[in-house]
Amino acid sequence: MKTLLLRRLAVLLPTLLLVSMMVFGLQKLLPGDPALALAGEERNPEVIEYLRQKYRFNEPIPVQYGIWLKALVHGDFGTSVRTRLPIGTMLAEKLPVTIELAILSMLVALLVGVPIGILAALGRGTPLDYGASLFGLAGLSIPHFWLGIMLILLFSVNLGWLPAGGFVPPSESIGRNLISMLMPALVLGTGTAAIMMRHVRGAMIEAMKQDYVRTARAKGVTECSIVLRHALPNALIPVVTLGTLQFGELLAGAVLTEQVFSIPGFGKMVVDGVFSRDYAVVQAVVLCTAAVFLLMSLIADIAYVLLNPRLRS
Amino acid sequence: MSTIEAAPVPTQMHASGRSEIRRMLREPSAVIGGTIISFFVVLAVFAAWISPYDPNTPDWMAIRAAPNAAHWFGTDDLGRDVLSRVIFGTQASLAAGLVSVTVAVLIGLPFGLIAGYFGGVADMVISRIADALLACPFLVLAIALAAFLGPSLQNAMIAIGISAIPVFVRVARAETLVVSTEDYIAAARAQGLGHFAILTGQVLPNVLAPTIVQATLTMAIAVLAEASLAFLGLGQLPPAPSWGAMLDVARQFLGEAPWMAFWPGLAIIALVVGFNLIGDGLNSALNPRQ
Repeated sequence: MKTLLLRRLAVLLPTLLLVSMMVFGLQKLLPGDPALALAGEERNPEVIEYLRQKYRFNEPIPVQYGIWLKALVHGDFGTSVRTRLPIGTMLAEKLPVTIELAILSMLVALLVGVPIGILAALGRGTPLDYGASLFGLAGLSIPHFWLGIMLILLFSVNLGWLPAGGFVPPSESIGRNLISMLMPALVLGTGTAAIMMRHVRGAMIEAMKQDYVRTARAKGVTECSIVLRHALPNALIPVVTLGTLQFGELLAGAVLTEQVFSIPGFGKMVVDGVFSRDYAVVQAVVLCTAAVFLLMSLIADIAYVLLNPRLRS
Repeated sequence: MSTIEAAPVPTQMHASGRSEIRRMLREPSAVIGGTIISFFVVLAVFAAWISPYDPNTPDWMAIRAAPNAAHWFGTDDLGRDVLSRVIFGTQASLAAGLVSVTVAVLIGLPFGLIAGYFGGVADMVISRIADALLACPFLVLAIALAAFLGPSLQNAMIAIGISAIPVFVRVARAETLVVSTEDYIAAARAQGLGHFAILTGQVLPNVLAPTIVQATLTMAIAVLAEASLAFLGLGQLPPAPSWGAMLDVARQFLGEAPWMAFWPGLAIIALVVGFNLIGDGLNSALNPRQ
């Protein structure tokens, strides 16, 4: 386990360094004076001069990258030109909102995707299986933002059951917080549920073909017990890995969902950053999302080994 | 939606050949997907003839008119015909799918071939860069690139194309690794053929089929990504019609004119389903063992 962890870290750190180079390189795409471009809509000469001094734009690019990276390592993501707040503080404030949305969406995905996947595998070739395939196709093809708009139209505009948008912090009221997150979590979780369903179905079909299932049947174990005690635990191993990786994807998918439902999270922060030309915010969000994604893939690898006794030995 | 993953495509397939085409025609999903895509291609090419109205001409007397005999899909907040805008919007979506995936294949495929064939340092460098690109979720990277390049359909296509490169590097590299160990590659080397000749003459034809399957599936992702960028205001600029941008405007009039949101969304779903079906069908046809 220790070797695996060290080996994965040895790959993860250079990858993160490469990501940081790419994110730094983004600002080189900006036309004209980089200090002026980074200042966005801010035209105060003092701010522009501050940015020029801070990032030393007259130095060679590798030196500029070194300065930028050194600041990052010290937790200095820069200052937002829009809010004038340190970006690190903004990230600390917005990230929990998006993580809550991602956790709730993952719950939706698990509660919907896993049972449908199991039922589709057990009823292979039946109308239920075709229905599940249709759900899988729909989940992968329906844009989050359109599904969000349609749910708002139905549950908020027509029925008036749920709020059309906004966010209530859990510290204020857990009940209202969950109500405000219900539609966003459903929207974001549907795509992941479809992916989960496809993988669970495939894994269950494979598991049901294994020798241990045949042996259990020969011993007279009930079908329900075979599914729940023998096949499912084995089929769920790759699903745990997938779920961990999908969690990183959910953080990215939150961009559009948060925009539709006006949730003040990570995704809304990047979109606001784009429109106010707050490029340092955009860079920080990309970097953090990539870091979370890499961390999740590390956790997925470890979980895969921990859950699979054959690999553990 | 943001997930972009390599399709489980097989080794040792040939992209061309009548038997593959026959198998594809026997795959219902490929046929249905092909029909849907053909329908949209016809709409895009003949938009000017098919469309009942000019997509950008406002009709101040018919603002947010519900679907009726004159405007089958209703009109938008400026009185423009929604059906005409949906028809013309096909052009942006199809162009985004085709151009961005072409960019990704043209860059990703050669690098994947080089990484898989030569191995060593080349493989390590290319694979690490692909890993770094894959670490940034597809949509976030596309949004960031589109933001830095500036909002336009062209830049959105470049941004989506760049974000999709690593998946083609991975597919081509994995296939090349398998193909490179085959006897006929050793025979080609023994005949004195150069690396370029082996790569283009022996390896590439075997890598093409899985790349085509992946390209079709990635087009579905690219269409969704273009719609997402347009929805955020980072794609096709107004007044040119784009399904994503139409949805962004429709959001403000949900109570009064829900049809403004319904039809562009349905068009996106139909096109994405078409690409997904044809991708699945191609995969089954070219990979009978699966």
